[in-house]
Amino acid sequence: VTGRIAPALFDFIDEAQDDLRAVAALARPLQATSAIRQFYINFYAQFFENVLKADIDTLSQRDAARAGVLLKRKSGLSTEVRTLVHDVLEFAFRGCRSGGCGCPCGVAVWAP
Amino acid sequence: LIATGDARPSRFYKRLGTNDDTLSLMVQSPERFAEATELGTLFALHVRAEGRVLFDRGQWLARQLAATSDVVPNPGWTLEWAEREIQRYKDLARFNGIFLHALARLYSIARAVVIALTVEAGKPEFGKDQAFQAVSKRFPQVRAEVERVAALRPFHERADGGRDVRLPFDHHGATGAVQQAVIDIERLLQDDFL
Repeated sequence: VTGRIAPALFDFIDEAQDDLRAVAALARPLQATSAIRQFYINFYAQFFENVLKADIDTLSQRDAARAGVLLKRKSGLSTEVRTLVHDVLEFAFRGCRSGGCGCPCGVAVWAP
Repeated sequence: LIATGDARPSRFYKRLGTNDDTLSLMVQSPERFAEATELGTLFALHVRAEGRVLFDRGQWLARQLAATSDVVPNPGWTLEWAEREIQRYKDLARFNGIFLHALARLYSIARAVVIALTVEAGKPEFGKDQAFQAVSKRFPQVRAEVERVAALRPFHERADGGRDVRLPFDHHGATGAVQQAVIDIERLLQDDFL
């Protein structure tokens, strides 16, 4: 364990840039299986465990609901932390069921 | 359930009138779906082999599948994708000792690989367990590797929101399991046993 959030986690961002270049070349939208998504889910797993000390480790709607409860209970959280938790709620309730999360049917899994 | 369209998945859920977490819904743009069928991805093969059309306004889907029926499926893309993808899991420092999502992801990469292998071997299996079982049975020389990666399934289910899923071991600090999964998948990617 190297700290609250591992600096090496941000290597996913560099890899995402490669994904973005490839996507730009193909002129199609970035799929959820990209390095960005891997960064996102691992960032939040580390954030909830190491920063908020909360037993929340996925971006499922159930965990997002628990994050919402946490947000209400912990009044002393900074604006930045609250914004990050809100971001999880947004992701879980609006964008996570895109089918690109590793499902064997996902085009993101199969496509070149 | 696969839907083609440009709306967000949440809008489709709303239209379906369900908030069922167990429903796996994939939403694809028509362009993306057309591309998959034209390229001969395994996804397209799966849809063609086992999909059932529930609603097809204007017969667009039927026309698209018919127009691409002679495209030969290419599992090589999946294998190349998996080879690139597992590189991310060789650097364990990025996970900060929390390996739930790394193990889950490695499981799904392995699953894609074994499905591709069944296609390459001429007998496609798309079921979650069936593909692992088929490869394990057909290629005993990689049985141990297949069984080890298949055993990571609870991590995938847990990461997918299954809070009640019992994990075979604690993912915290499980560096050995991650490294082993990467080695096992690399062994499967060698496909010299086919």
